Amino acid sequence: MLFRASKKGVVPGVRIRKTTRFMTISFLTVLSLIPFGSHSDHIGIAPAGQRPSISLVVGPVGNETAAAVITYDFSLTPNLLNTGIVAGTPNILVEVGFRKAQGGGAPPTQTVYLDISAPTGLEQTPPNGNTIPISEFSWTVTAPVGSIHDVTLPAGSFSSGTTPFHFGDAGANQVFWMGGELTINYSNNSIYASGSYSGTITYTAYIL
Amino acid sequence: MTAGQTEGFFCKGFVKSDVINSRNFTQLLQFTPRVETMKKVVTASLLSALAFLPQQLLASQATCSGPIACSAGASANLTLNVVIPAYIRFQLGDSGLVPAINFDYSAAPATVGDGTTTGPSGSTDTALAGGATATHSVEIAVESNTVGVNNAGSLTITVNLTDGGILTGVSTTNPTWAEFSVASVGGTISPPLVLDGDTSLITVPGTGFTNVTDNWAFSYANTKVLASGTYTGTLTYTVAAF
Repeated sequence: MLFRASKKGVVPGVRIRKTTRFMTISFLTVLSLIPFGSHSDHIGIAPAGQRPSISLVVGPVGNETAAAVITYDFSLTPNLLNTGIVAGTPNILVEVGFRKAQGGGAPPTQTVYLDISAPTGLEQTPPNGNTIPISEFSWTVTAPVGSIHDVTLPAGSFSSGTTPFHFGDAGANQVFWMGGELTINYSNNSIYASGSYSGTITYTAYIL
Repeated sequence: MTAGQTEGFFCKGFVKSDVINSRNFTQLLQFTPRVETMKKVVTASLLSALAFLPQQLLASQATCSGPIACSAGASANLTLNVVIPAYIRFQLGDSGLVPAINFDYSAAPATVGDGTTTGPSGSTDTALAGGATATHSVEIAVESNTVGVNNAGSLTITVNLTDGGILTGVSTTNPTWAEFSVASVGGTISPPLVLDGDTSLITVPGTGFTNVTDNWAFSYANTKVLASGTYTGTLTYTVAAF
C-alpha cells in the first residue's frame, strides 16, 4: 500500500489546538466505524458508508479474513477411495453484509443475490484431460459461532455455470447479514486417475 | 462541501492504493488541518488508523459501494483441491489363500513322462467357467489409477522365481519351470510367458483407471520320468506402474 500526503488536502483557517481536538475526535470516530473480528452479528467486514454497499467474505473459519488464496482441500488415502462422501478442510465462512441505501431516493426494495459460479469440473494438474465433475461436490451449512445471520445460505450442490441464491429484500434492516459456515463434501463414488485436481468457485454478491 | 465531494477530493490527493475503502477515508480526512507541522501528526494518525482498518479486496474478501458498483457485485474465490492417491490392487486366486495348483499323476502313473501336456488336476481356486482349458485356472484381477502419477499407459506384471528355476523335491532331476507354461483364458491380461523373470504389460486406458480380470491356465509339459514323490515350487508375481 502506498500513501501520500498532499497540500491539496489542506483546509485553511484552523488553529492547531482545535485541529488537534478535531483530529482526536476524527480518529476516534474512524475507529468506532471500523469493524473488528468479533462482532455481535457478523464475523467479516461491515459494509461501509451510507450508500448501498456490500461486503463479501469467503474464508476459512477462524481465519476468515486471511490474506491468501482460499483453498479447500480433500486429501484421500487409498483405502478411502470410492467409499462414499468425504468432507474436506477447513470449514469455510461465506458471509454477505448489505447496507441499504438510505433517504428519499432509495429504491423501495433492495434485493441481495449471491451467485455461485463453478467450472464444469476440477481439472487434473498438469492437465491431461482428466476431470472430476463439479457435480460430485456439495455443501452443508451450519450457523457460524459468533455470527447471527438474517438469512442462512441453504445447503446445495455445485453445478456447472452460475447458480443464483436470492436472499430477499433487506426489509427494515439497515444492515442485512447473510451466509453460513460451509462444509464441502466430495461424493467419492468413482475412482479417478491419481493426481491433483483443482477448480475455482467464485462467489459474487450483488444488488438488484 | 458535501460528503461526496470530500470523499472524491481526498481520495485523489492522499491515497494511491485500491486496497483501502474510500468511504472510511472520507470520515478520516475531512478534519485534516492546514498547518504543515501537523502533517506528521496527520500521517501518524492515518497510519495508526489504517492499522485497524480491515484489509479489503484480498483474495477472500470484496466490497462494493453505490448502486452501479453493487449491481456488478463483489466477488471472492474459493479453490477446491482434491488429491487422489495412486493405488494398485492385485489379486491372484479367488480363495483368499495363496493359490495352489496341482498336477497329480497318481491315478495314471503310466502317463508320467509321456510328453502329453496336461492341465492341473486340482487347485485351491473355485472351478471356473470357460471350458476344459479354464478348469483349475487361477483368477487374476488388477485395479489401478496410477497412470495419473506416471503419465504412462501401462502396468507391468513380472514373475520371479524363488527356487532357482527348479522345483524342490526328492530327486536331483527335479522338474524345471521350463516344463510349465501359462496362458490367458479370457485374453484380458497376458501373463509373463517365461516363468523366470519375464514381464508382461497391462495397457491402461486414457482415463487413468483400469479394472481388469482374467484367468490364467497353467500346463505341465510332462516330458521327463521323475522319481516318485511330491515336487513344489513358488512363483511370485508383481504388478507395478512405470
